[in-house]
Amino acid sequence: VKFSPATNMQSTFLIAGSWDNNVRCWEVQQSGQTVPKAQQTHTGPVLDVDWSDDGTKVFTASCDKTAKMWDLQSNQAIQIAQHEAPVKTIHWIKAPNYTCVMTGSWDKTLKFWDTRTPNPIDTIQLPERCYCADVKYPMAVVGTAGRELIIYQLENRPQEFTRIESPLKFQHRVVSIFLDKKNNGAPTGFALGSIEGRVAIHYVNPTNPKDNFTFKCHRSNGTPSGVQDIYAVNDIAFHPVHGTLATVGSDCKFSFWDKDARTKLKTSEAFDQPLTSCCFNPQGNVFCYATSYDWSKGHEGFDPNKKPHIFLRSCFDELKPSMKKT
Amino acid sequence: TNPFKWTANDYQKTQNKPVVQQVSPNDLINTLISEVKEWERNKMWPFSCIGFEKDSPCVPDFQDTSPEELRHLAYEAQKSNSFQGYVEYVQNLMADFSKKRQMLANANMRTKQKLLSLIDEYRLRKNRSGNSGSYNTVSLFSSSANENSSSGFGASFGGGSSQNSFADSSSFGSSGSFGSTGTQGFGASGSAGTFGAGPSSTGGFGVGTTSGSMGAFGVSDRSSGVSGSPGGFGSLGGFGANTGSSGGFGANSSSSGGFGSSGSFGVNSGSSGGFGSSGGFGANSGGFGAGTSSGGFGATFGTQPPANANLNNNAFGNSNATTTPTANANPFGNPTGSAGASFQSPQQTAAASKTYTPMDKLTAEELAEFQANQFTLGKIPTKPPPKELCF
Repeated sequence: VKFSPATNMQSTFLIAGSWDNNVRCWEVQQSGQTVPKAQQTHTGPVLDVDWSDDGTKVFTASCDKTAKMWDLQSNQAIQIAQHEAPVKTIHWIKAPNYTCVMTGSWDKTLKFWDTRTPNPIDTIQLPERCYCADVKYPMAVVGTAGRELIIYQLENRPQEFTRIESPLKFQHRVVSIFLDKKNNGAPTGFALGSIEGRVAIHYVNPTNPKDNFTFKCHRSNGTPSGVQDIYAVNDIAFHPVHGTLATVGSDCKFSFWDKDARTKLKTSEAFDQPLTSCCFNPQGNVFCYATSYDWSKGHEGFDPNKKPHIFLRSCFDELKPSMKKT
Repeated sequence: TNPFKWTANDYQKTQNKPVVQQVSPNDLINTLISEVKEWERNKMWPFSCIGFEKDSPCVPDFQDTSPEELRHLAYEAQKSNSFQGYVEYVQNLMADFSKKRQMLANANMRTKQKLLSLIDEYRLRKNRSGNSGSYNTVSLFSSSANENSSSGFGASFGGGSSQNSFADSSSFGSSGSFGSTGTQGFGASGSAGTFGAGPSSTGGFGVGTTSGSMGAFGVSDRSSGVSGSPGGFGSLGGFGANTGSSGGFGANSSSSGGFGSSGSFGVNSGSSGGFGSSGGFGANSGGFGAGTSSGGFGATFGTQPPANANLNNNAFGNSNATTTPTANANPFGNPTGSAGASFQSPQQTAAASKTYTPMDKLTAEELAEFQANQFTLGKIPTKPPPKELCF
């Protein structure tokens, strides 16, 4: 799920991509009412979505190995990318001297597309299948299979900046870039989530190595003998104003965290299904999360009676940084 | 200047600071072993790589498969009528990982030696170049031909040289190979108690459980034991409506490279049907917003547009909208939008017909509601409106 970016338009829109091959768009009104607006379809499940910075286009990535650009004004969608395997991530890049769409695929490539031409303007070979990515100009981070982590510098053109040894020991699931609270809010690090109920907070240029740390999350309380159930972190979103973060997991819960105070702010009750995706609106007063099956128990865990849902939650105060001092 | 112009040189300098405290290799191995033991019990996703420690390479032989990759395989298998093959594949994957975890958990001297030398190697490399490197071609287990790899599929998966299980086409490219490994107690077609049934199986799935209905993930299989047929999925609407799919393993994809490469798992680039909007895992069988009485969507049908509808016609504020007059009739307008033929699928027309209710299927009361200026609270129809009243 993704909210439209802050623009001059009065309304906010929400996009959701689904395993049923569809991408749906709702208008989200101030009152919280949602109005279905339009829908597009791929020939395979949709794995990721993103918005153009002006909020007029939606980009969608699919298991059908393509990515599309959906012009909301005309309600027309065209194919803008082609890979050799499912496209797992898609992000719009807006640089002062160029704009393009970045797609990450299980074919182990990162490709960059000018939406007007069929061939990629650049292709970067990845060491492994792309599992997760995030872009906040001028930084891009890609997490792949095999725990590889690569940072790209997007100024002038996308270039690999450095590879990092993963601060997490298990399979990468999600990466989300955070901004510096001072310094004009430039991207300064990222949060990485894995299948092991853990998130790593990593500053690219830490002043102190101890700035980087990991914390446990999405785990059950465990039996007296100490064995916890450990769940995957499926998505991470940073609050656009407070800089605090939300995590959603296979344990059917969401949590809010303050990474600077290194404390948890809140954990929700358990929903009926895993939470698979989350995002904040540009103003930071709405938290959106989706409940649906995440295949964490394979096909046996699939229950056709449980329908996917998307929730909107009023949230500004809940995400305020903690008063606790570290 | 860009204050965030971190140069690679600066960055490398920070990375090369020696780590103050390093865990001894022996302690590291012990921690690894206890983590692997817990892994069997803590319900974590089983098909994951594992690092020796933070900021270090992966332990060899454990290849990542993400939930989405497996799910994609399942959907493709369903489309090409080869779901049982998918089930067997997962069973084998589970057995393979379980075996490897157990071998690590019960590491003998030889394995420990190997682990030690790997740890020393990457730490040395790290101190020199700041990068530990990775192990793509080393295996902890493969060299010993004896007790470690008894079952045939162990060799094809854990060979260590293939970086990516899925890329190893011999695993299931030819329809024969999976069928034959099936004789080892996995996925024998028609046998009801497949799960947990393997006699001396190396504790593959449902380790420790004897119940025939426990699936690979220790979850009670709702499809009442995965025997030959796709069980629970057969009951989903729209499923098995395979149009245009080529069927079976080794289907016709000519795409190369990456996941599902070598055309082994029926990655049908040209397939159009199967999973359209109406069928598929958990898909809303009626198409989006089609008559499910969930609050807002139901209410949008048939309501009069607000007086100043024209201003809101085009969601994006353009007053000269050329799109369909009101978005209200079908909340999602024209599902396909584009005239591009490639986006059409046979399933689309089927879905479209579920968006409206034929006139003759409405009760008189429902028809009256749709024809009225406003819905009567408590009588709002749960079926979609008839096409005739929408335009």
